[in-house]
Amino acid sequence: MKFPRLGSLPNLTPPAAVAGFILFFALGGTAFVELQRSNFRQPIAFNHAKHVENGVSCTDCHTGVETQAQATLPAIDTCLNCHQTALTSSAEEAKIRSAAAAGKELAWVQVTQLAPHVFFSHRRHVSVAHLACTECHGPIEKSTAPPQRPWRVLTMNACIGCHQQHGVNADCNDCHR
Amino acid sequence: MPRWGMVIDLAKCTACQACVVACQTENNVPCVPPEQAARGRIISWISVLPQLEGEYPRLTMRPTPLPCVHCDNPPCIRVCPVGATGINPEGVVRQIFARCIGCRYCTNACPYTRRMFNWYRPEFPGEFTEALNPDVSVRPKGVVEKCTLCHHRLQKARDQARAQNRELAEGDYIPACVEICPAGAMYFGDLDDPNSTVATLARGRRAFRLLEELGTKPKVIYLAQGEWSGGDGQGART
Repeated sequence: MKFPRLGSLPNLTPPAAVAGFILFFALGGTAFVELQRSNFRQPIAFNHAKHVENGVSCTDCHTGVETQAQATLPAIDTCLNCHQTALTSSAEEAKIRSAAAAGKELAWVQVTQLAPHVFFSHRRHVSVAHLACTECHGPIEKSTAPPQRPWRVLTMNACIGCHQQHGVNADCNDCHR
Repeated sequence: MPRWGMVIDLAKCTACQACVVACQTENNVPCVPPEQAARGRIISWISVLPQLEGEYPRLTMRPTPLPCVHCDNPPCIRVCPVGATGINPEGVVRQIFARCIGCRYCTNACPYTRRMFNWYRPEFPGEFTEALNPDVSVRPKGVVEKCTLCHHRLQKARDQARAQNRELAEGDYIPACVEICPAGAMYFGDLDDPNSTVATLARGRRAFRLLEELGTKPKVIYLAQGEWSGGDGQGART
């Protein structure tokens, strides 16, 4: 019986190998950009720092943080709680009321996204473990314009590092199920 | 740390298949067309095996619900070339779907045949797509899947217990199959807690494990059918 040997594989000509090499990294690069979601515009040039300055806390707008898996992006009604009438002369602020008048929601783009095979609960991390938002989201409260990419890129190493540091269960099935 | 285990009383099981259906819906187990199911490509994390005993006309059927038995010494994890499966400190044999390359070594290594391969893109008829459990992933084509003892339920039960500032109590966390069993034939709990229901039942004289001789040390324990219904000689009724 004859077994196929490595030598019997078709020899790649150098140009083909180079083309394959370039293609591999080009595709990889596209996938990375896709994951980072760097090509987007938020509906409003939202200023986190300004809101925090005026005593608005994270949970006032991201209402799901303490009770749900999703932190939630604010619905327009949440904005209108304060912005029903003009607080400033900002054109960006006026966009809230014109969207509300048209009966539309603001199409916020979720900047921090986990891979689809990762299960994460904000409730567990915020209400149970009392983690500060900045631990994962970086100094978002200091940003004056919508960030084009997450302040911190969340990798599995970052998750596991924190879990081990705090002696918390780091079972695979807790996040991958 | 608990060591989760299940006890199934074969004297009580009526083979109603409620556990099978509950598991399918709880864990987003895809439906397989009948012709493919006939080729052995059906996926069901728990099945009720019709074990026949005796010969016609003295024939009895002993229905045996068989989930993954979560061996303490699992043969499946030793053959995985990519570390997609393992056993966690609480004794649950887990499968990381995103890491699985679909080589199916584990499906062959499992003596209980409790690992299933996704031969197709998962399909759910009509309304089922709206009823998928958001706590569990829908596995893609080409990966092996298995019972997780409803791990997501454990996490939710732990969160609830922490929110109420108490320890996890017996009965807080039970898998869907145990919860649904209308005959009350299935018990679930911590085998390491000597006072738990499962540990008490597992010590009884009716208790046995499937393919015990292989040394897999399964944590699903069966109670044999029998007319003997007394205590265990130490005051406890089993």
